[in-house]
Amino acid sequence: MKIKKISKKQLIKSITGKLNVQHLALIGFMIAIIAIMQIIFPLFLTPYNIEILAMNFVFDAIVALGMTFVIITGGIDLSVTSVFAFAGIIAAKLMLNAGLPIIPSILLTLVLCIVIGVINGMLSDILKVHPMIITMGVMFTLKGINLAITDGSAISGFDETFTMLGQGKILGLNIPMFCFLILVIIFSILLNNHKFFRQIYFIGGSEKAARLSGVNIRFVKIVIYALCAFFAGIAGILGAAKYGAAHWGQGNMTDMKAITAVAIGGASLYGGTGTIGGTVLGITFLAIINNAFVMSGIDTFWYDIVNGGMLLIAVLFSIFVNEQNEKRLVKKRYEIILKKNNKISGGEFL
Amino acid sequence: MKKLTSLLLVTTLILLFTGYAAIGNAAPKPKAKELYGMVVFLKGSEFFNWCYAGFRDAAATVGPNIVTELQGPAEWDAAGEARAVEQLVAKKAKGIAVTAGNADTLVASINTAIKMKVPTLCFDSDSPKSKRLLFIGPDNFNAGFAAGKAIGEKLGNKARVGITGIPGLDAIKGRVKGFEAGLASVAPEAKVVATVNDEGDLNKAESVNTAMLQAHPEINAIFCAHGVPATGAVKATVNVGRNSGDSKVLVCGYANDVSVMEMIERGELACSVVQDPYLTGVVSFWNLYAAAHPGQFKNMNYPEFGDTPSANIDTGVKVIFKGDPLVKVFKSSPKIR
Repeated sequence: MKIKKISKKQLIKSITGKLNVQHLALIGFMIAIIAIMQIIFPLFLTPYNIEILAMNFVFDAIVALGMTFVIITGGIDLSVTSVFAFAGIIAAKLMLNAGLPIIPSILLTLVLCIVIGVINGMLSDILKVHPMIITMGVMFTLKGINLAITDGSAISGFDETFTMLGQGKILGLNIPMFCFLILVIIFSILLNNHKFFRQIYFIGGSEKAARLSGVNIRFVKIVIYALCAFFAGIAGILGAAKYGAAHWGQGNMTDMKAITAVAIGGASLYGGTGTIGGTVLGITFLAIINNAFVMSGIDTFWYDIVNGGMLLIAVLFSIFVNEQNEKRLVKKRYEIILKKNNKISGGEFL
Repeated sequence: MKKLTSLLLVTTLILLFTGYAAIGNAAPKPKAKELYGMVVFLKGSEFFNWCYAGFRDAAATVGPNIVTELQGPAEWDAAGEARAVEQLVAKKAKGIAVTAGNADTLVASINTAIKMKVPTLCFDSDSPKSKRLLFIGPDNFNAGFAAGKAIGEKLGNKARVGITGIPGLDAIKGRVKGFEAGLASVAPEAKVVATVNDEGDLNKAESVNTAMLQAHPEINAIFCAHGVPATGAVKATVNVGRNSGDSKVLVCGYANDVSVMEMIERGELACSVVQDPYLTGVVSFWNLYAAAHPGQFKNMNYPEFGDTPSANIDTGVKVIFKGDPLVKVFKSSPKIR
């Protein structure tokens, strides 16, 4: 794996990406909400509330990282919600029923999650069916498997070492949060600097052009869907460790939250754009909004309205940007043709 | 003259001081705000709205400084509830009443709340492995027993029952066990012939119950083991043409929604197991309030809290049929704002 050495400044730039209007508006909006909330509810910025705010969204945030890659390629993965629960259940079964130690159980679970991702990627590419249909099918199948192997019950009674993964701290930071930050740093660098990950923008921008340029689309897509399932698996395992139980209902709506975060973070649902930094902004925005609703005592039903509204705005914005890009492309093509014809006709274009 | 001015000044000052002191003594200090939270799943459902109405009304009798909040996800999402509990702790709630969408998933958050010295109890659905103060709500076995007995008394030994529920939930497991025992207590030859998973979804309930009735035509009664599937089960009987006449399937709900009450009035639903959700809310609040205000005698299990019962409180159930005055009561919606 070839990654060029990068400076501290480049690292920060890798994570934040190029901040666009959408990002700046989001940051401004978040600062305003935080300021207003802190004035009205002084408990908002207490360390405990910030910790709760972060921990309440860290699992969705990990899933959203994987979703970012999939959305950049122009795809979507609805199976993450079931993979989330599946990972917790399988890890629990391996530890409690098969008697495997913690690390092999986690590794084996993650391998299984990767296999699910590979299936998603392969089926959507080979069958040429929209990934939404394929991943929805996988989601329902896995949900059934989760129910069947648990008989609908929660699995609990984990070793304390395992629950520490969800409830413990490293350097004063909750372990899931620590894992999230590590993943953000690693994959931001890869997405911005590694040739393989740069290809996904190409595929998302124009799959046909990418194919003609010699990009192995099938391989890239399989890896990206595997990566997405891998992230959902990590979130599921950490979630089971945090709640001290694995249940088929865990990870409920994670897919929607992840997609919303990625879209709000500036990724186009048509593919070709998106950054890890944008996704982090998107998920932070959702976390702040959710916490603000609870803190202010406003009915949380309104949260879904804001959530949905933001998703719609993000989608409309990406449609607008797409149209603008297309217009610019047409204009550029026209200008090139104009120049060529001018050269041929000696300056006059009829 | 100087003396007179000094005397006047001193007198004025004394009067002002005593007057201020008198005003200060007369006006009671405003009591500090106290927040009590109720955390539910399926937020917005009529049942939990009734629970919250009781919780809120009980709080209102204490004074305007008592604030209550209803929190939790609109879906059957125990992890979402766990997050709501943690957020209420961050808001420095004085007490939290939570109904456990899944018993095990809520253990960690309830234990954290107790650790942070926030009295926390369970109502309606328990999380027995947690350190919650106590559980308030109907005993699930007893509730199921009442339903089983009612169906057994209606259909006798010929009762062939299908059960619709969500597998794995402790509350539902208890109800199903109780149902089987209640049925056997009055009709020893009656049988439960099938159980289906409706996933807590109304549409799913219709499809799985239709399939169950087609696969088991001998079924003459359906027991809905939780609040959601009653309408779906009734529709299923319509789908297979067994909603009237001699082959009519008797459906027993487990809810007190307006729609369920209307179905009882129309004779579509034979009966429903109803709890007293309002009382559950009232009792939940008073126990939290007592725990948050330690008196002369401390809590026997948690000395840092005020006194509450060390055993669970069974709020009981009733199986209601057409004509029961409770049908009218439950047809009115609770006021929660």
